[in-house]
Amino acid sequence: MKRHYWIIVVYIFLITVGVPWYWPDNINYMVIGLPLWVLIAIIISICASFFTAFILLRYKWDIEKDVNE
Amino acid sequence: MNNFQAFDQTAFIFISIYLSALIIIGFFGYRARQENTLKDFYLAGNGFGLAVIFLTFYATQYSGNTLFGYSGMTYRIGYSWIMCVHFMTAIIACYLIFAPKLYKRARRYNYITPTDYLQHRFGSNSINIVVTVIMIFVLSNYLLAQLMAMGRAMQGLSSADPNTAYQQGVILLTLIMLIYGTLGGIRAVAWTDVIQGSILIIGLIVLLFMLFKQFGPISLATTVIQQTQDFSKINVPDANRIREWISYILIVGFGSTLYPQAIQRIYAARSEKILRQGLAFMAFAPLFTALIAVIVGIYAIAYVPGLEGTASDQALTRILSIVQKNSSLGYWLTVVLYAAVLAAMMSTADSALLSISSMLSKDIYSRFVNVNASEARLTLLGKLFSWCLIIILVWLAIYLNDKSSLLKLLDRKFDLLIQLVPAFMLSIHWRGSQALPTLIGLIVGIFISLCLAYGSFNFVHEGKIYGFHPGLVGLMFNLLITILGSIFINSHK
Repeated sequence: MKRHYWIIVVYIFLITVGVPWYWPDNINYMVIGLPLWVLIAIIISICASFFTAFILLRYKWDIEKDVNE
Repeated sequence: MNNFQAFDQTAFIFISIYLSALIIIGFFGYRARQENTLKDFYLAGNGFGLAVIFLTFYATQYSGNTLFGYSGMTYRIGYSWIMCVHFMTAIIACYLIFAPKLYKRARRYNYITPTDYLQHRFGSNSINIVVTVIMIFVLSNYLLAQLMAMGRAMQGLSSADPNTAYQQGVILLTLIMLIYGTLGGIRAVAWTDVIQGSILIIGLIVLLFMLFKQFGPISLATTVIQQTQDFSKINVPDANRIREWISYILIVGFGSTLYPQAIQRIYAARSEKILRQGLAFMAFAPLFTALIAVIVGIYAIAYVPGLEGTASDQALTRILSIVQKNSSLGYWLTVVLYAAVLAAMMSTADSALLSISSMLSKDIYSRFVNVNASEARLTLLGKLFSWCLIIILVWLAIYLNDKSSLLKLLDRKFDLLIQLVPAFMLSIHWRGSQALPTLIGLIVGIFISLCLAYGSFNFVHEGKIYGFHPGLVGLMFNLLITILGSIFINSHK
């Protein structure tokens, strides 16, 4: 697998949105009975799972090239 | 635990059949061996196919800690523990950093233990011995946590006195695990992982269904928690918890990939394609495992209030006891779940034990005591070492009963494991990485981590520095020493 730096950027983006650092302390929106920040954390986690699976299935690991390096 | 309705004889027969099946699989593993070599015993010769690789990764990674510890932690801190779904996903992302290159080298150079890579990369006995000792220590700690979880599970299963049930649980389940592990090696461990992983997945999905049926939607549980005015378990986490969240993503993400048994599973895949596909499946595992453990914890906050301290690790058992009493369907589903919980613990413990056994025989005995030992002798010695070690750990598990929360054991091992990042992940990508600075960095990193974790400092609260694990601070110094030292050595060559 070649070095794809955009993959790291996507993961940093997912962490930035998934970790609820940007919410004010005293506000707690509820959506479908769950705190909104929890819902977003779960959605981001689902996105991270699909993204990781995509990377693993899309890019082959170039075995011979790496070992010969 | 006192509220739990003990299982009847039919349920015991069901669980006994399940446990007996594990021993039978061990026997089949013994029959399936192709040769009496380390590679055959610890890596199953040519390796495993997709289903086995996925389920053995899954059953090994999700343990008693996941089910009891995570639901208990949710009980203590509330929705904030949703962070566990993030850090369990981070593990698979971190595999992308080094698994491709490590797998290639393992296939080409026939690695068996994790330090075979280090021997090949650095040719340094000092690094090997330090890394092996760290890994054995960490795995023993991990194994101990699983044994204790087995005992706690048995407390819920039996109507006997809790202490007696705990001791019987630890001894009986460990014995079964030892028998099939000794007979069939990695084949028995991986094949039992297939059963254990399948039961665990089915059991957890069934549990989710049972929770909704018994208590209604999770929104209702959230409302109940709100009515108790305990907003800390629902509100947005404070700044310290946010830092802790990021810290967990880093320390568990990187640390878990460096478990010796996880590295050996990378070696044991039959092909690169199978390994990639197995890990791709694993990327979804947090959603149907860690997330369900969090949901259990939320229901427990709402409907089983009043659990304090180590008792909060019983959140799952308490919830199961309510579901069990509700209907005969609930009762039987609980029996299956109990088998799943036992499966989770045993599958994690057996992998850790097998890994320790391989390191003791190959990395220590074969490298430092008897370099001419035959493979058959090393395999036999590995089995003997695992029996000796397990006797000590069983004694410790019984001695430590109720003295330590499950998650405290979990925290410290990652502080140590993450110090292996430069030795494995940096060195595999950077040819300039040198043995001496890597070794010094590793030792300094461990020293700093342990000092911060166990010393008394004003800025350390609950074993963390402003929410960050001490291991991350240690890793910064570790990386700095490794990189600067390697640059220095390379520039003077």
